[in-house]
Amino acid sequence: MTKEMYIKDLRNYLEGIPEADIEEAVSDIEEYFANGISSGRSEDAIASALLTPKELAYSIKAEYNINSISTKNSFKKTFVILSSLLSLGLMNLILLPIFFAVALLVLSFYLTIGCLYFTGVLLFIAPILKMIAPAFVSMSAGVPMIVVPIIGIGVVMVTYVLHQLLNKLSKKSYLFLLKYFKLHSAIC
Amino acid sequence: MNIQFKKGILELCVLSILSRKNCYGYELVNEILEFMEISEGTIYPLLRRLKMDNLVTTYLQESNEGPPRKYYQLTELGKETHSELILEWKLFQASINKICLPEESK
Repeated sequence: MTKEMYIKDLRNYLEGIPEADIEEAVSDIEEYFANGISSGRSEDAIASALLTPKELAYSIKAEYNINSISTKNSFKKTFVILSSLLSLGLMNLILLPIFFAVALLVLSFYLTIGCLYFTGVLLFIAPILKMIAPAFVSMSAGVPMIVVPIIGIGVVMVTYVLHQLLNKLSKKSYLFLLKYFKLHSAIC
Repeated sequence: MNIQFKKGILELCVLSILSRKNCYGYELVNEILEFMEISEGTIYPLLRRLKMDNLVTTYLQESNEGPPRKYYQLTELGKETHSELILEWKLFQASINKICLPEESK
């Protein structure tokens, strides 16, 4: 592969990152070729010793995206990272659905926790609700009124513990993902 | 050598070479190639990351042959990071030696 072909391919694969960054990468590689040539190597030899244009472009892109996500975190950036990492290998293709599944699972756990809190609070205020709007509260006969708010407190307490556990769990999986991305960005 | 391991070590090597003298990309690669087999392109993504993390800065300098060269220079933060990594490396190396080469590390 000639220098010209290498740089043309590199430009194509780099498309999508800011123009200045593309120019910088291209001039780095041009300089590399120039130095290699002046030390007596052929363009072809230099090109084959470098990563392929595709590999180089993707590792630059991954690096670029990871750096911009660490400064400004947003959903769009996360998506950009995911898509650029996807192109790094088939492995990511398998991991992406798993990532989404885990994210949805975590979300559903949080919704459940929210419902449980709500239940606890409703149970707690049940006696008051019964006074204001008797039609909305039905209680089995024989259960003393005082028991219901206590159960409510119990539910909230248990939910709180579950909530803390879930926080830890989701933080762990987030950190794991971040580590995984960083690992990939340090391309061989 | 294990690829993941080499990736991490490469950063330490680059910082170490730059702590001795400022280098341009091609020079840096050759310094490393003398002792370790790497794919030559690996260095650029790494250098970009070091630059974005403010561990190195760059400047252009004319050369006798060909276009001006982009030299890489450690920043203060880069120097600090380098010393920290060296310390970590020593500890790491010592522990691995104790596990893998118990006779030699006595």
